[in-house]
Amino acid sequence: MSARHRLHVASADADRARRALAVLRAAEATEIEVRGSIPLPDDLDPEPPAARGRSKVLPAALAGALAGGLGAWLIASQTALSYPIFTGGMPLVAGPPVAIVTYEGTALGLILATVAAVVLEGRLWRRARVPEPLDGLLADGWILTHASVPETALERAVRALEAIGGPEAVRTAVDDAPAAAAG
Amino acid sequence: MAERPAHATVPSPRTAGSSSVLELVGPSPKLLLGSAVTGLLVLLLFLAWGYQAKNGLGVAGINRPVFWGFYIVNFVFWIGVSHAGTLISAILRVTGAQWRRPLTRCAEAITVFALMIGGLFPLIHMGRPWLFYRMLPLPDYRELWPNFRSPLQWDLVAIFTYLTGSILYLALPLIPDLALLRDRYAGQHPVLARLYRTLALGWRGTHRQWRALDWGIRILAVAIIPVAVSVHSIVSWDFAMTRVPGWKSTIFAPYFVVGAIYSGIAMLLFTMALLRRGLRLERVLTDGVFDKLGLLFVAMSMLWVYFTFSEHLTTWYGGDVAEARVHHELFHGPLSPAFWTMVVVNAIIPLAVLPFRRGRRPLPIALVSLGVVVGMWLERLLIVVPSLSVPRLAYTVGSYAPSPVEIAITVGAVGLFAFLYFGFVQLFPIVSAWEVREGEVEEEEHAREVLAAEEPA
Repeated sequence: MSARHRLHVASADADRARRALAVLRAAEATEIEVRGSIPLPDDLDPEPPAARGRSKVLPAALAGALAGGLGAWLIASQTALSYPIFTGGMPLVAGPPVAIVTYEGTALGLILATVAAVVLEGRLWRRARVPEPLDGLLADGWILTHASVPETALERAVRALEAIGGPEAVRTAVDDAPAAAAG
Repeated sequence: MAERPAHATVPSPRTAGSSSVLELVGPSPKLLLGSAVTGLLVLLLFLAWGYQAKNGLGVAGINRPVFWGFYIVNFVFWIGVSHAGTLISAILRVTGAQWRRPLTRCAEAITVFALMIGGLFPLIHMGRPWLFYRMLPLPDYRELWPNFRSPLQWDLVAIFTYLTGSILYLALPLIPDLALLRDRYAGQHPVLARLYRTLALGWRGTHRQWRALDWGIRILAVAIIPVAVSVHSIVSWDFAMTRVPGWKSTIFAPYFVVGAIYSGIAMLLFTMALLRRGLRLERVLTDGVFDKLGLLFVAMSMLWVYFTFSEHLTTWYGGDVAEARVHHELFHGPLSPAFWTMVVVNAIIPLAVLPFRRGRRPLPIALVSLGVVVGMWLERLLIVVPSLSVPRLAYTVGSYAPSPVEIAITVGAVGLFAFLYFGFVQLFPIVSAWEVREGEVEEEEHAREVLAAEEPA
């Protein structure tokens, strides 16, 4: 059992980020997270493909559309029935207006549910944590990899990371305080 | 979501361009001056509106039989302009047009602000805006519930949906850029740091978040297109569902939608030209972007000419007396200068200039666009006023002249639009940094593949 340190790696490009990921995996790193300022290639996803699962955004959007449409239909049709006005023998619930309102309600439900699903699935509701040491490099196009590395493997991992492309291509930072005790 | 190819790479930070886009954020003397000048116009708007609210609608020029004047003209115009962004941006996203990247946010911001202003005008036109809540389906002691049979009620529903969708469609792709700004301002500027930290939510740029965002943007892009079309169709039905001569037309909905997209592209091109010049964005808003959007512009110009011609030809050929009076008002009456100006700036000039590549360069296209923006406002005026001036019952013939209050509110609305836009440009990246960057990556990747293929084995 040994203490673990949080290791932060900034890679100049995806090839170096791949190699950094391999180094970290070899060092038995845990809690690996890869971040980019643009969508990253799938092979840089530390999560294995089987664990990723399918996105729930589309089903949520469709459910939202259904709920929105139903709600709008109820409001439009039940308003006409609950507060009847003189229609000169025409039906109390007029089809075309109810269809228009239902259409807009469907779209509104879909839009709101989509955004809610993105927030939930992307865990955006978790407010930003304490800034990481190399965060400022993201805007300049670096790819950041964060991981928890056992103290025994830390030195070796840092040397291997720096060998990938030199300090110009890979930058590392280590949190001084041990991150967590690993079992 | 489709798997990204394993060989895809990101560019070396040395060539990355997103940070230069982010550096545009923040006040500059030009933008502050713009905010100050347009701020005065906003003041004018609210003073005039306050004066009208205090003294009643009598201070406006609308009167029997022309009950719809500048306010409704402005409502239709701004709702039309709002089609700039969301619709154009969504169509370009859905079709995968790569050249859309630098202009999407610029367009989406136009949509949101134009819609806000468009939505303001029915309130101004009400005279007593504080009674607006009666259009909402809220139980009240008088048991007055909204009448969903009225196209005006459809307006409320459609505009609310479109505004909500447009704000979210602007906000969702903004999150990654806000997170970059959050990181940049951390510990530097407490107010801005807090603003960006709040708006960026918990964005970190992980795969999970990019995947969710990709899904979200794609679904919103698909959803917002029919919503945008429905909004302007419903605005057209405010007119077409009546028996007023000049309004009762089966092609009014597509005619309005085409006009809306046309005016939207014009506003977008004009704004882009100003941004390019003012913020030195030549590297991002390139001549190529203007050229491609210009092609879309000329196509919309031709469509607008076709619809306008069809609309007037069929009613003129039908020979209905009431319709003929409206046509006489347009072609020979007091509004005929406005009609012929509209024809020149919306049809003749664009079709004479835009088909040529030189005409689609930033300066000429900006001038043509400004003409089209003015022409489309005139078009809305010519739809609203002449039909009401000469209604079917001849003894109610009347005329309309806008009052100073209406003119002040109209000018103030333009100021409000510019004021909001100046504010947005100072606080947020007007060009989507991550989308531009992603495009650069794809170009680099493509170039690398081409080079690799050309190298001898």
